[in-house]
Parts: sequence; C-alpha cells; structure tokens
Amino acid sequence: MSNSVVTALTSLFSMTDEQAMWRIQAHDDAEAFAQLLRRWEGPIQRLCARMTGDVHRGQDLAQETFARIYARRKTYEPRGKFSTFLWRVALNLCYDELRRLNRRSEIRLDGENGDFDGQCLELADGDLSPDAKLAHEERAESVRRAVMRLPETYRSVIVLRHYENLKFREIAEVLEIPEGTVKSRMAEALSQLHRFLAQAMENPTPARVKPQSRRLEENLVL
Amino acid sequence: MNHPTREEWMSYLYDEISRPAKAAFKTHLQNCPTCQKSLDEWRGVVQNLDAWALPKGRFKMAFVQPALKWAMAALFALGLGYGIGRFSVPSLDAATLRAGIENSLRPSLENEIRARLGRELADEVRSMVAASEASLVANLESLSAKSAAGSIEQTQVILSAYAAALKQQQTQTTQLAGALETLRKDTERMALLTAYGFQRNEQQLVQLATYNEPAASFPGKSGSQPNP
Repeated sequence: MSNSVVTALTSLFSMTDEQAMWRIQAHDDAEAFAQLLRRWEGPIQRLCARMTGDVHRGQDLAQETFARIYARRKTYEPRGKFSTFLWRVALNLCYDELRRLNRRSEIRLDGENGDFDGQCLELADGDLSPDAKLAHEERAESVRRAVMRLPETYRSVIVLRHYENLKFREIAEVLEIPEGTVKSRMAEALSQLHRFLAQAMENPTPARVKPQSRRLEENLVL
Repeated sequence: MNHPTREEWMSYLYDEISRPAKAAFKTHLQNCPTCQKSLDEWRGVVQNLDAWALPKGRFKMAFVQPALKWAMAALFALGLGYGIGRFSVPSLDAATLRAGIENSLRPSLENEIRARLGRELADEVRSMVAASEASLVANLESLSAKSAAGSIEQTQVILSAYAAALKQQQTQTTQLAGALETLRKDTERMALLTAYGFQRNEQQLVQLATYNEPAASFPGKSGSQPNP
C-alpha cells in the first residue's frame, strides 16, 4: 500500500487526462493544459484534417478545439472520460466548419475539396520510383475524395474507427448513439466507399499540374 | 441459413468479437458466397483507406509553454491528503481509525512543513544577502582607496572594476535563486518522505487495531494469529 503513495504523488507530475482537466479547472494550471496538448494534439489534428479533407484546416480546427476547452474550463462537468468529451468538441467544430463551407458552396459533390498540395505523404524519398510515388499519391487522393463524398455522419464513424482506432463502444459514447447504430453506419459507409472507389477506377481523375511539370523538365534536359 | 447481420460483420471486420464467435463467422463464410462477397468488398475498402496517410510532423500549437513548479510544490505540500485519500478502505473499523489519524495529524504536518519552509527560506535569504552586501561594500572601499590617485584613465579603470563588482552581485543573486531551488527540492523530498513514513506508521497502527489487517495475500494462512 505504501507503493501507491509514491505512485499517487508521482502521478501529480504525469497526470491522467481527468486529473489534468481537474487541475485546469480548479487551478488554471497551464502545465496540466500543456500536458493534455502534447498528448492529444496529434490525434485531434488528424481527426479534423480527415473530416474537412484539408490538413491546414485541420490544424486550425484543432487549435480552436483546445482553445475552446481551455476557455470553457470553468463550466466543464466531468462525466465519463475526458477523451470522449475532447473528441466530441472537435467533431462539433468540424461539423460547424463543414456547414459553413457548405453555405459558401465551397464543398463540391465529387469530393474534390481541399488542397492537394497539402496532402503530401510521408514517403522516404529513395524508396519508390517517381512513377510508383505518383501512383501512390493518386491512390491516396482518390481515397481522400471518396471519404469526402461520404455524408458527415458516416465520415465521422470511418475516421474514428479506422483512422483513430476507437472501439465501436467508444464511438457510441462520443456520438451519443447506440453501438448498433455506429456499426450500421460503418457498414453503410464502407459500402458507399466501395462504390465511390470503383467509380474512381473507371474514371481516373487526372493528376494535378505539379507532378506533370516534373516530367516536362526531364524531357527538356534530354 | 442464418446470416450474421451487417453490424456483426463490422465487429468481425475490426476484430471486436470473441474467439468462438469469430470461428463461427469464419465457418459461415466458407459456406456462404453472398457474405463472402460483401466481406471481400469491405476488406478491399479497409485496405484502401490505409493509403490515405497524413504528413507525419506534429504541428506545435501556439500556446504559451508555462513556467514552473512553485505552484506544484505548494500544492504538493498541501496536497498530502490527495494521495492518502485514494486508498481503498479494508474494513470499517480501519476506516474510522484512519480518518481519525488523518484528521488530527495532517493539519499539524502541513503547518509544520509550511513553518519550516518559511523559516529556512528566510534564514537563507538573509545570510546570502548579507554576504553579497558585505563583499560589495568591501569592493567599493578598495575601489575608492584606489581612486584617490585620480587621473582619467585611472577613473575609467575604476569604473569598469565597479561594473565587474555589480556583475558579481548578479551572479550571487543567481546563485541565491539556485540555492532556493535546491531548498525547494529538499523540502519536496522531505514532504514525500514524511508522507511515506506517515503512511507506514498509520498502516502499523491499523494493523494493530484490527487483527485481520495483514495482507490477505498469503493464501496458506487461515486467518492471522492475534499478536498483542
């Protein structure tokens, strides 16, 4: 039992999310907030980037998420896991942003949204030939567009289950819907994605200008 | 044939089912081309999803990285009860006994630590200030003795020596801050050890009060012997 004294006291310096949030709420503890940030900024950025289809927009939304959490710390009511609350805040901000973009007709129905250049992938440069690299980028882009074609309620399930690896039960808590509904949305989403990807294979969208100009340069050298 | 539902296939696809259920679904797949086709389609999508990777780097957020741990130390000294409060209660008697001990000892412990911290800090500050003052005065005296000779160059030399003395005082102030930091750490350590020892004493008292107390982790024993 004396062991747990040490762990209890040392855990003050590496806190659980719930402890950190308590410190932020009760003491405006900036160190605790920084700890939450370090732990969660990656996942939240990824969620927002995939929900909006745009990496930079994702970063902005993630920043807004944490700002909101800190701004509303006094009225926070601990109910369940902090991460559930965090995912929910981020998702709601994504929905708001998507609705705003929709009103300004910035969303295209074929999924061609967001900045292709910003979606550059992390590939070791020496690994693939330029053609293979291009093929990989094109495949990523068609997947991105397919996901962006999904309705937002289906997209969120795909992003949370497949990309952020939450269990169906956790997703149900975040979205405040039954677990069965989460799974049926997932099934529907996968079926739709299958159709979209099949269509994309039949009508390949041309690669953007950037890769093509690389090929032109090569020709000029010759 | 009884097909699994789409929802159940999702659990299967993402491995959120028991091993027996998984085996049963696999068997069904072998006998049901419809379900196999659906599953193949879904699996194809799942594999494609992985192609959409995001740039690796985490982008630092522009929040201020905060300062330090005076607040932490203060909370530490005051929050000894935090760790103690997390322990589970073995039995009702022990609980009341512990509550009694805690209530009487914790405040006096807190006060003692705070008083001690205050006293030692004050002493340390006083002695360091006195020491640096004394050395600065000594420097100034020797400088003024030298300046009695009085040419311009000598005055310049004296002024630069004065600047050096000021710098030395700054160094001493920095050292003072370092000493305070060390003192704070020692105090933290002391608080930790005190809480540690406090907890052990408390445990022994509890064990004496309730004869069943020693850990039931020795399955061989059929209850412990009363040990007056």
